[in-house]
Formats: sequence, structure tokens, C-alpha cells
Amino acid sequence: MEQFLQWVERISALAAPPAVVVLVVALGLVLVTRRWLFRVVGMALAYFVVGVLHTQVIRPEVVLVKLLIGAVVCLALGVTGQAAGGGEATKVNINNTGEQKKGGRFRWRNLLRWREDVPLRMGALFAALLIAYAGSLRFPLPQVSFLVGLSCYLLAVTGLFLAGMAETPLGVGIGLLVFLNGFDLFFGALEPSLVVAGLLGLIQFLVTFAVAYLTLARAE
Amino acid sequence: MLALIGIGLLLLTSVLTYFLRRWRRVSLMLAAIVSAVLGFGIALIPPDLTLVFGGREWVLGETVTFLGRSVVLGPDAQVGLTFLFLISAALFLLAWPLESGELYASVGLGALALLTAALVVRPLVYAVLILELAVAFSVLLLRGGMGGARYLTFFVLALPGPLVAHWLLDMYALTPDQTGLLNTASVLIGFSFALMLGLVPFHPWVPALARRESPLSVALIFSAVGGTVWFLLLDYLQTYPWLGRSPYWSSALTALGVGTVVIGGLLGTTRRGWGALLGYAVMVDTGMLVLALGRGGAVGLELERAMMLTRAWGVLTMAAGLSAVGATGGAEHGRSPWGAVAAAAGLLSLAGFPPTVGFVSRWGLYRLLFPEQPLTVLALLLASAGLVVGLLRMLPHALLPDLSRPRASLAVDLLLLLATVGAIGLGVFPEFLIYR
Repeated sequence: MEQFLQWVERISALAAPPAVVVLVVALGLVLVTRRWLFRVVGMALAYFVVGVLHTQVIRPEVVLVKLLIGAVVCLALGVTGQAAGGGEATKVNINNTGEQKKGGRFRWRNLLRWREDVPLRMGALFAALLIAYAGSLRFPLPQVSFLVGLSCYLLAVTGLFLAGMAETPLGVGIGLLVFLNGFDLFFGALEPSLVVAGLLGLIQFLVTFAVAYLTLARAE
Repeated sequence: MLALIGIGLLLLTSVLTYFLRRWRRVSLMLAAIVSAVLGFGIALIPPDLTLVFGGREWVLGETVTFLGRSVVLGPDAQVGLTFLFLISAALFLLAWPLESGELYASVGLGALALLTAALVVRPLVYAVLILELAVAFSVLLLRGGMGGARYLTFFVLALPGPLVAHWLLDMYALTPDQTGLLNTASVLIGFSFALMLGLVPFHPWVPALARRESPLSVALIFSAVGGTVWFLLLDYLQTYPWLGRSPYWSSALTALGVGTVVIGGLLGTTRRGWGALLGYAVMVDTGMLVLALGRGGAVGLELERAMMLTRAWGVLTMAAGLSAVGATGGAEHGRSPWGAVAAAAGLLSLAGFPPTVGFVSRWGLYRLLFPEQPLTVLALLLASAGLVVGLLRMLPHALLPDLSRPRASLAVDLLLLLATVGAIGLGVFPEFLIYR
């Protein structure tokens, strides 16, 4: 068992730099696109990367529980996104272009079409990267390595941007979950208590449940 | 022990009322009875009372350990729980004829159980985590939309502050020469409570929540969740007394309090609907509470508690009135001429207009502030007048009878009349509620 834990530790240390790159890609998917499918894929990637980074600060068995929570959260978000008919994407299509109606046929060519706010969202992602990098240099987080600190900042700032720019409860919820992930990654290093980890996981569950309810109640 | 029994009873009743949700009135009456029994039980049963159960003696008020955490029912928690249970009982009673949501009793009781746990669990870091669970759960009371999402957002953003502050205080215990840790902890705790209380500039969730949601659901959030946040803040001040001794404490609270009152009063003059007006009135009242807290000392604390009681009555009366006039939509019960009267009486109480119950505590605050800060008192009075202007702009619309709806039952009239008479009667005879 000890050898296994050492092996996990070594892998996580080696995987940290690529994990941060994958995290940027995942957050880009969540922030820049408006389609629920891409967002859920981005969230799943983000949860996986945060799990990898978590192995540097907490015990691997707790990380497994966190990954399980992430899987359930992503599943719930996916089901909600599908049931609500695409959330923000649908709203924009109807209001701005009128090409694709709620529950209408899925067209691949629509995926390649840029929406008007993509430059703004990419700018927001770039700003989040800058803030996270500057923040982790100027105010390094205690008890965590530079890369983990950078990821925490990145998740927190992107989460704030997502929640602030969202037009639907589902968008707000995704932003809050990204923010909570960043905080969880940092606080796991400060307070390794299992009860706190469990309560933070429960909060993520209930936040997902609450935004799913708000989204579906609104759709009705 | 008593607190644990209360939490267990609330959870049990929450599950029971969920299965009884088709019989909405039965579930609401059950919720009201359980809340009232717990409220009077906590207030009247002496904490040193001993019961023999399972061959062991149990002292009702003793500290017990549950899942490795302490559950403490101190005198402050006792006051907080009594307030919480009795206000909730009144809201469940009002919801009986005025609220159409099937899950009001079940979700309300579940949230109440979590709020109770937040008030009695120690250390305080767990209280904040459990409060967050209660907030996420209470969202199920709402109809859906961005108001609820904003409410959830501000509370989630408030979560990291107290948790990181807890770690900083642990560090300070190890290295007492690093006073910077205390300053950072103070800022983090203050920032988080400003978010949760909806102080300016973190106020947008307050009117956004009240604008479109069912008034009685909003009242439960403003009174029960808001009340718990206030009691937790008082707990923090008692646990960490250096928080209140900071030289910036009083001036920061005065600035935040006056800012919230003035912005709430100014926005209150606009005509954005009854729900928004309730939100602005709560903002004004929150600002006043913060000002009372900033005064510190025994008088400030006493005033604060009096204002919390009067605020709860004002919110409750106004929400009941708004439900009756169908102000934010979704009213499936009949119309009542007392709806507009109750809404007006509740708003006047929140604005601190004489002779309502809100005026009693407000008068105490004005007298406390006037010798040192007469201009601040003038600003507070003008801000309160802003709410009255908002009321005068909204009232003509509410007084027009909606003849498409049938006449409300006698129970609706009686409850509205009782709430209105209470809002005015307790202002004329305040010794029944405060100043005992």
C-alpha cells in the first residue's frame, strides 16, 4: 500500500504541469462555449485535473471520493442541461439568430459558427489567466506548491467570471462549482479533516441540486 | 441534548410533511405546531432539567458530542433558536391559507433543522459549512430563476472567508507575535458577513430575490436564514472579542450601515414592484442593524436583538399582505381587502414609521446616535422616508380590487388582521415584545 501511495505521489508531481495545461483547456471549454455538452465535458475534465492536483495535498482515497462527487455533479449538470433544452445556447439562438429553436434539429455546422460574445469570453479567459498568474506570484497561497496555487487562483477567478456573466441559473451554478473546486483544492491543504472535506463535497452536491431545480423550474 | 432532539424532530417532521404534501394544509399545520412546540420548549424548559432514558441520566442543556463535534446550547443559542422556531411557526401558519407551494412545509422544516444545527455546533467553522447547506436547501422554496441563483452565489462566495480565517487563527495561536494574521482574519470574516447580509455593495441579491419569488418563501429566507446569519455574527463577536476591538470596527460598520440604508431608501423610491420594495425595506433595516452593532456594548446588543424581533414582524406582515394581494404573481387564493393594509403596515414597520413596532427599536437607535452624529440620523430618516414614497407609489395599484379572483376566506382575513394589529399594537405597547 505504501509503495502504491509513493507511486501515486510521484505520478501526481510529474503530472502537475500538464494538468495545469489541461485545466486551462477545460476552463476554456466551460467559459468560452455556451453549449451544455461542451460545458459538461469541460467540467468533467476540470474535476479530473483537480483530482490529480488534489493528490499532492490530500490522501489518495479522499481524492477518489472527490472524483466520484465530480462524476455525479457532471452527470446531474448534463441531465439538467439536456432537460432544459440547452440553457443559454437555446436562449441566444432564439433571441439573436432565430435559426435553431428549442428542441429543434441538431446541426453540426452550428458548432463551427462563432457567437458574438466569443471574443469577450476569450478575453475573460485571458484575463483570468493573467490574474491567476500574477496572483500566484504576488500572493502565493500557503501550504501548496506554485502550480497548485496557480490552479486554485485560475479556478476561483474563472468561476467568478462564469457566475457573473451567466444569464441562466445553470450557468451561475457551473461558475459556483468551478469556484468551489478552486477553494476546495486550496482548503484541502490547510485543513485535511475528513469532516470538512465531506461537508464541502455535500455543499457541491446541494449547489448542483439547487441550480438544477432553479433551471428546470424556470424552464417549466 | 435538547438541540439534538429538536434537530431530529425537525428532520422527522420534514420527511413526514413531504409524504403529506398533497394535503398541503395538514402538512403546514403540522409544521407550525412542531415549530411552535420547539420554540416554547427551548424558551421555557430549564436547561438543567434531567431526564432518565435508557437507564442513563440526560441533562437537557448539557453539551454533547455528535460525530466528533460539540453541540452546545448556551444562553445565546437558546435566544436564537427560540426566535427561529417561533418566527417559522408564524410563517407556516400564514402559509396555511396564503402559500400554494406543496413543499413549503417540508423544505422549510429541513432548512430549519440545518439552521438549528448551525447555531449549536462548535467550532464555528462547521456552523458556516452547515449554514451553506441550509442556504442551498432553502433554494428549493423558490420558483426558479435568477433571483435564487444570485442568492446562492453571494452565500457561496462568502464561504471561504470564515474557513480560511479559522486556519489563520490556528496559526496565530502558534505564533502570537504575528498580529497581521488577526487583521487578515478580521477582514475575511467581515467580508463574508457583508456578503451574507447583503450590505452595499453586495446588496443586489436582496431585491432580486424578493422581486419575483413567493413573498412567504422570501420572508422565510430573510427571517430564518438572515436571523441565523445575525446570530452567527454575534457568536463570532463573542468567541473572538478582538474582532470588535479593532479601531476600524465602529467606523467600518457605520459606513457600511449608512451606505446600505441610504442606497436602500433611494432605490425604494423607484417603482419596481412590491417584491422589490420588500427587498429595499429589508436593506434599510439591515443597515440599521449594522449601525446598532457598530455602537457596541450592552445597549447596542440589546437594541440589536430588539430590532431583529421587530424586523421579523415587519417582514412577516408585509409578506403576508403581498401574498394576499397577489403582488408577485402565483396567488391562487382569493382576494382580501386586508392584503394591502397588511403590506402597508409591514412596510411602515420596516421603515420605522410611528406608531408601528419597527419605530420602537428605531427610536432607540436614533436617540443613541443623535448626540454624536446628528447628520447620520437625518440621512437615516430621509432614507426611511424613501420607502414611504415607494409605498405611496405602489399603494393605489394594490387598492384596486382584482374582481377576477374570488373573495378570500375568513381565515385569510383574520390572519392578516392579526398581523396588522400586531404590527401596530406592539408599537403602541412595546413592553409585550421588548424592553422587559
